[in-house]
Amino acid sequence: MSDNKNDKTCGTSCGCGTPVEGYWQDVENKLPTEAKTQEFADGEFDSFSIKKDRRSFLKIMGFSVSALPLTGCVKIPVRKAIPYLEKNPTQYPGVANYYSTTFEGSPVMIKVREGRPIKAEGNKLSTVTEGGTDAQIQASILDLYDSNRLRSASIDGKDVEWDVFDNKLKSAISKASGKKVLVTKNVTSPSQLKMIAELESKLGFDHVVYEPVSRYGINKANERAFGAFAPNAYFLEDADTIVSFGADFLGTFGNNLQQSRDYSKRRVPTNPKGLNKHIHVEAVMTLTGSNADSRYTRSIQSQRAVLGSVYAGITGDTAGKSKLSEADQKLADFVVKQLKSSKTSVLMSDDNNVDVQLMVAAINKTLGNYGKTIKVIKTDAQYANDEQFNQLVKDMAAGKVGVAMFLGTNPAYNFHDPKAFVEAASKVSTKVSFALSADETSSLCNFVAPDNHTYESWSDSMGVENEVSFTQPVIQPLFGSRMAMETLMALLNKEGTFHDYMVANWKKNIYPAIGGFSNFDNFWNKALHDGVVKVDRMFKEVSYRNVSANASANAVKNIKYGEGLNVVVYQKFAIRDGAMANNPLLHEMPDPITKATWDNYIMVSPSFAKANSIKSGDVVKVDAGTYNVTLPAAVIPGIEANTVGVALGYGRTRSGKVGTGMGANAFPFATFVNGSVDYNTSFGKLTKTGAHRGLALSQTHQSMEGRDIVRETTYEKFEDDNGAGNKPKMKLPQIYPVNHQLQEGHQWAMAIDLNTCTGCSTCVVACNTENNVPVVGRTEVHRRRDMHWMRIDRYFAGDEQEPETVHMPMLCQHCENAPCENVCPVLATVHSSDGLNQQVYNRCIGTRYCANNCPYKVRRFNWFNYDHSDEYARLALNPDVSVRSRGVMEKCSFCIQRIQEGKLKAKRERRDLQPGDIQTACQQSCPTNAIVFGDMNDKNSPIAKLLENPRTYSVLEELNVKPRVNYMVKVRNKSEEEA
Amino acid sequence: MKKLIGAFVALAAFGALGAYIVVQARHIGYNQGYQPDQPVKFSHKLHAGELKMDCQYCHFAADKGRHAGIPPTELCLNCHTQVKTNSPEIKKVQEAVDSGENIQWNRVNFLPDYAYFNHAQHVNVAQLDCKQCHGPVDEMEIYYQHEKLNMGWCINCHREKDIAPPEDHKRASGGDCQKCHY
Repeated sequence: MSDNKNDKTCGTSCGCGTPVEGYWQDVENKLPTEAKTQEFADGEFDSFSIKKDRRSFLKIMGFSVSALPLTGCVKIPVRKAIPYLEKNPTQYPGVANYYSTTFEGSPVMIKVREGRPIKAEGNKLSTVTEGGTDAQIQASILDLYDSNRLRSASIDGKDVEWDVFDNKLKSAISKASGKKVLVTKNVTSPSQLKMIAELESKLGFDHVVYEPVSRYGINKANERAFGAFAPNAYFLEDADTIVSFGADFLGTFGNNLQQSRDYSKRRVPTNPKGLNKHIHVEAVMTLTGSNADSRYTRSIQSQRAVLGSVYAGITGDTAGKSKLSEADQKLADFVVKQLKSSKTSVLMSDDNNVDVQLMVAAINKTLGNYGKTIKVIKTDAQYANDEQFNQLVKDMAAGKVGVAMFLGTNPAYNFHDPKAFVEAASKVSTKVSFALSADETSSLCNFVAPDNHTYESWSDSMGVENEVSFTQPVIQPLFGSRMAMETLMALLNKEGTFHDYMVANWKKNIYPAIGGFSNFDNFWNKALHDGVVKVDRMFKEVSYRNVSANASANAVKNIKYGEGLNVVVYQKFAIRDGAMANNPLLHEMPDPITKATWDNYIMVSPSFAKANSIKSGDVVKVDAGTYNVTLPAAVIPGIEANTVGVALGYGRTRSGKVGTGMGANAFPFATFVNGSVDYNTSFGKLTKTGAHRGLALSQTHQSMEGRDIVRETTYEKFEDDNGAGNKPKMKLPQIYPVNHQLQEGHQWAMAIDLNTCTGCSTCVVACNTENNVPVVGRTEVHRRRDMHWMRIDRYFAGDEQEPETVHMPMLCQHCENAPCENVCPVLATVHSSDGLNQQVYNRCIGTRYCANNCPYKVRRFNWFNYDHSDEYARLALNPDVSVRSRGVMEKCSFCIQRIQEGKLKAKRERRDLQPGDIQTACQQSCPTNAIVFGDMNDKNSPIAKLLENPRTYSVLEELNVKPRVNYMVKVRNKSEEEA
Repeated sequence: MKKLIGAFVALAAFGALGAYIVVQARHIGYNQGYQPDQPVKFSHKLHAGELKMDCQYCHFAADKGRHAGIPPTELCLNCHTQVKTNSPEIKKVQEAVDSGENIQWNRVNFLPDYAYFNHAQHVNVAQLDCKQCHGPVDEMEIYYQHEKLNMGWCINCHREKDIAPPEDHKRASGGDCQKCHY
């Protein structure tokens, strides 16, 4: 914690008198809330227990005792062992195989056990992600096994065989009058593009690209400025200064894995290029904003005005300059100064307004950023075009469209005007949906051709950095689905599979230009094995044409805004646009900022809440005239006072058991302005309904209670002294004997860098899937009975409009003097010889003493036998980890199954363990390599070196429990004058 | 006096009963000697004993991973397209391969879900003889579970043989819980 924050004394009644610096006690009023502790107990002992009197006790006692001898009479059931009929030469029972494939454009490796995919990991061979993943990748396996998926092709709601379907669809298409349209998401697959081109040329289809959250503004601006309708590719490792206007580049904006990787490299303060400076201006708090060195909360109007002023300051063209408030002017001057004084920089904005993006492009051009920190790469890929899709909806409404096919798109839910779309769709006679499971759009379609999940499909996709990533099936289609591309092939009367088509395309059109292989088969096998291949020929960097942004700056300055409260819609890191809304893992992942699960809500600022006496959980109605939603409020700092934020991706009306009916749809708040969909400029009013719906938060206590749980410093101080900010604040008397004698053999330890951790929570989902952690649902999370072995604690400090945020991953600390071990009456939690605190499920009788005595609150109790009965979803369970039953305590095991596997493998190969042989699930999933795990006794290992680092400390060091999990001091690149 | 004797007898009987229950109860779930009939009358005595076939010819995964592997049905036909093709038992195998309706063997050995055991560590790393745990398979007409396969049996062996690397088993407990239970 930097010293510049005001010292207060600890607000609790403990009498310790320790100073509390800066960090808040409570989000809403920044005061200690004693009443809350009482609330904790609510609902803990619920009505599920039986009548508590002497007679019922004796009855149950007597029954249990008399039933006991019966257990001896039980015959063991006969269990069947069914061998393979034929042996697969690459597969051994109990041994996992890994296959490369791609999920939503990100290269991944799928762990397959006995033919079933059980876990998705990043692909280390990809230079784009370097093995990083995000929450959606980690949760994707569960979507594959979603028993809600469609089982058969259908026409008018009746299931039909595929050949019948093909014939009927073909005749419907040939009979149809009017335009024929194929609507897809962004298409980056060369083979799919070729197929679509054939569909256009041979059957006369038009291809329209639609994305629920488009980046049309950027793409269109690039079309004007570069002659390429393509997104920006950012190279943040080279940027000394990053200025972002609302762009959540670590979360939902652009290529988040590549950007996180590059960004985090420059967040290591010992990087020879220095720590980068991250300035973020936004209206609602995003994941990226919470990581900024300097974060400014500004309304959309202010953001655009400041940008206009920055544009003037950098380019000298004063067209965009308007009169700014004092604070905004200060901010604009500060941004200009920072950009001008740094050697390399980048400025980005997620504004979908084309004129705003043209200004951003002009600023970057003047700063000389193109070719260094930003590149515009021209490929054959097709990106979403808001104008075209809106025109299509108009054409549909006018009855000009005869056939509309929706591939991977769901506009009936996520179009900014779903009602208009539904009405327009009713005028189209032949509608085809390729949905995985029934959704809002497929319910409008008379032809439904269920598509395969990505993990059952073939494809290829162009990424950034000249990388093409391959998609190959890792399992046979589970349900009666068929690859959408094969349905298109049937329409084109093509023989064979899409795999054949793709191979032929590569062999004929792409392979000849790739050198270095003796023949095509060698190339193909290597490409599928690695999952990624560099094909320079497909990517062409284009340069800036001399366009003037003068008119754009003028136009932005003169934009008229509505009256009242600004309603901003945004994407959450986990749920995004709602395509994966039926995935319970994503719903239970606490949002990085609000720590809320299982709902969407209306984010309001503390000052707005105070003025209107709104508390978190109060159900409020936001009305923007044409559309309104009624949702609970969440009071969150860092929201602009006149702005409310509503997350997209909720309010699905047809999704599945999990997704349907949760929260409210926020897409209709988006507006269509000047040819692009604007997510920021809806205005309306907020009214209270009087109802209350408590949010299911995973973190309800925000205070560090005066302890230096998070330590931080500034870069200036760090440069003078690498150990700055790392002085223990407290010392308590020793109650533990001297250390355990744990010096021999392997000693496992972990280090987490608070500077590279972005708080994205991907590790939380990775941990869930690796360790069979159950999903408990909203009610249980609300009762504080979430089961996550790993959580990310989030603390706010400073001003409530512009707070500083810290994210701290918290998991079992594997204390050498573990307090939980001393209190277990049955030795169910014991210490191992390699320094792990081990939980033995079979010994545990559920006293929960250990959880009470844990200073880190990382132990989780199974209140119920959580549901693993779904015949498909249970296939995703990790067979190497027990499924715990009711009444048992559990917690992070440092992925003991992986430790054991690594050790056993080394023994089989008759060698010593090497650093990197064993990775915990959280470590492997992390897109920024913030987590390092290994043997601290191996002096050459990265972990041993990190433990010597002057930035390293352990949480609650004063207790002398000697945690094996270490943290590294957060270093903010913030000067004294700014703070 | 009579009363005292009576009480004594009653107490002894109660004690004996208790001891009997405890002794018997300790065997619950061990299944030592379990010898179910199998759908195909396969003889380990013939194949492993008289013909001296290598165990791993059929149990192909024993040195690779967790499970030893039940032989793929097709593997039987490596020989049995030539040998004893008229036997009704071989016909069952042939039929299974032809029809794709696989044979369902009755499983003999099994460990509970919460116990992790890895064949490869014992076969490949420790180079143990299969008989050490599976008994005289070469004499078994119908295969049965020879050992108790309980936790005490595992740990005793590990203590006596001192086979595991030093850091694993130095402590008096005979090993860490999560060597096997996770």
